[in-house]
Amino acid sequence: MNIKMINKKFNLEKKIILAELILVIGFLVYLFFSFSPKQISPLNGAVIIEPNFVFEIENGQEVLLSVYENFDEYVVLDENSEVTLAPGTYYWKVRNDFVESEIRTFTIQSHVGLNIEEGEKLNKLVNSGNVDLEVEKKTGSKVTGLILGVNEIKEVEKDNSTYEGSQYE
Amino acid sequence: MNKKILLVCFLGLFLLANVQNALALGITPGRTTINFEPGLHQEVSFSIINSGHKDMSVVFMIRGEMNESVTLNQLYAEFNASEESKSFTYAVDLPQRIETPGKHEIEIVAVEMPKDLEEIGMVVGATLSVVTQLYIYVPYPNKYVEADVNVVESGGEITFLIPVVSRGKLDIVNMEAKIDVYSWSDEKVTSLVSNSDSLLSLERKELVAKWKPEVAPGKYKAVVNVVYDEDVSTIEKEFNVGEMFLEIRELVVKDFQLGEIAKFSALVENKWSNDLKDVYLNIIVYNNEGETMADFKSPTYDIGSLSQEEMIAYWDTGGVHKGTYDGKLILRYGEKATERNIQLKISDDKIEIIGITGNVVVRGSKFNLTNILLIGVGVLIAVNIVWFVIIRKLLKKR
Repeated sequence: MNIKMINKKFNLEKKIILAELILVIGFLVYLFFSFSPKQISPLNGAVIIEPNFVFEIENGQEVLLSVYENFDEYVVLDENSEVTLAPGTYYWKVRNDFVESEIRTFTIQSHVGLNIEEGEKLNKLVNSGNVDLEVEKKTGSKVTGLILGVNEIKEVEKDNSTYEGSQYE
Repeated sequence: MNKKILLVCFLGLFLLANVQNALALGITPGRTTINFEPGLHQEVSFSIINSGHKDMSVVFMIRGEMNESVTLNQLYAEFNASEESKSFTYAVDLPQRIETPGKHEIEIVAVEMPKDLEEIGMVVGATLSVVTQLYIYVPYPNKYVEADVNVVESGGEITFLIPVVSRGKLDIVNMEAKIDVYSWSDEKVTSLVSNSDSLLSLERKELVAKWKPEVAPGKYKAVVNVVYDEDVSTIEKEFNVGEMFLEIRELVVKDFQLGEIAKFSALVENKWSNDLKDVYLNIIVYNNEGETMADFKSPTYDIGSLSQEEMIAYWDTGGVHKGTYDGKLILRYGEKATERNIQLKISDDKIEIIGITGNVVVRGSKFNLTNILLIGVGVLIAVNIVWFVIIRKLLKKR
């Protein structure tokens, strides 16, 4: 076997190793992007006024939630977690066993919501917002007050009363 | 006379229409906060949420000690049923000086009215109004902080988030929160200390403390002392550890004869460290077509914290045939309920209940994302090695 042939064989082997390397790296890059954790909702910069919302994620196991952009302190949420968050701005990311997603932010904006639903004998006063309410009831010249928690329902008389809801505390 | 009848009919119809339609109104944000600056002019926006999705009018009013500082750009608005929300603004014009430091509150009130109010002329029935508050904070001349505490439970860990706002003209050199946690019987459970930080005048920062509770589920109270330089601000907050939980330990029917009244006796355990009031048992039995054959309830019981109680419910089995029936056992307490699917095997002198103590084990798939990736990488490496060895051998042969 002359030197020219040895060189040719060596070059071919080099090319094969290079091709193999490209293939492996390409596959790993594909896996990295395909299986990297993704945030679906809430959208980045979303303003949330609903009393209940869910984190929708893909390829992730946990949501990291923080009031700090640098995640100095954070809360870890898994699939079964249920938390009550006060109005404010929050930062969140998703992680799986390998990597974390980018950081996104959302704001919970206080929403004062009051509903009166018709009941059989009594009406139902419902706090449909995302903050506790101080409700003032005016019936003629009589004024009374009550506190209504988020999603809380209280039965009230069917009358001509005026109900005024404002954010409590 | 005819006019009177017409008026009564008209009012009756309107009342009926008003009662049938639920009232719903929302406003966001519920509160806007502004730090006082001499002569400040600011436009503030807010939205009215037509959560009832109906035609309506909204009338706006301004209230409060400094109401002359606020000008609404619109005093009245109309909504169609298809309009989810509408945005509005008001202008804030602050004076050059406010004497009293602290919080000054102005309220913008939105009152729901029928859309055709001008035609009707009056409102009969309940009315709703919602308020968006404007808080104007005039800084105190010294060091002054306001704090709140939000308790978040996740993954068996409690996080105390303590937003602290400086309302004084002087900076805070150092602040930290000392938290004492008390049980419902006022016994101190633990003491925690948050991170420490500095705080500039009018700045807001969050202090954080974490606690892994090793206590019975129940209601607890946090007394938070935010120590800032030489002063202290104290706040209290009630919070829950774990979930309110009742367990049905046993459900039996003793001394039963078909056609007579069956006495269902349930042994229920309160695993919550607070008393639970007005707990009751609801048993539903379905026939073979899946229709409700019986629906009976126990009286209400008060169950002491971490204790057991026997609850009794009666079912008249007159007309019921022997056989196996599906059913549901519901234990209701407050807004919560524990539900179990059960089966009742009814014979002449016995009701056997299946499904109370049986456990359902859900076996999770081992093929999670990590395993798929590891298998994928492993297969790829193996295929490449084989491919590489074969090609090398072929080359050698040549």
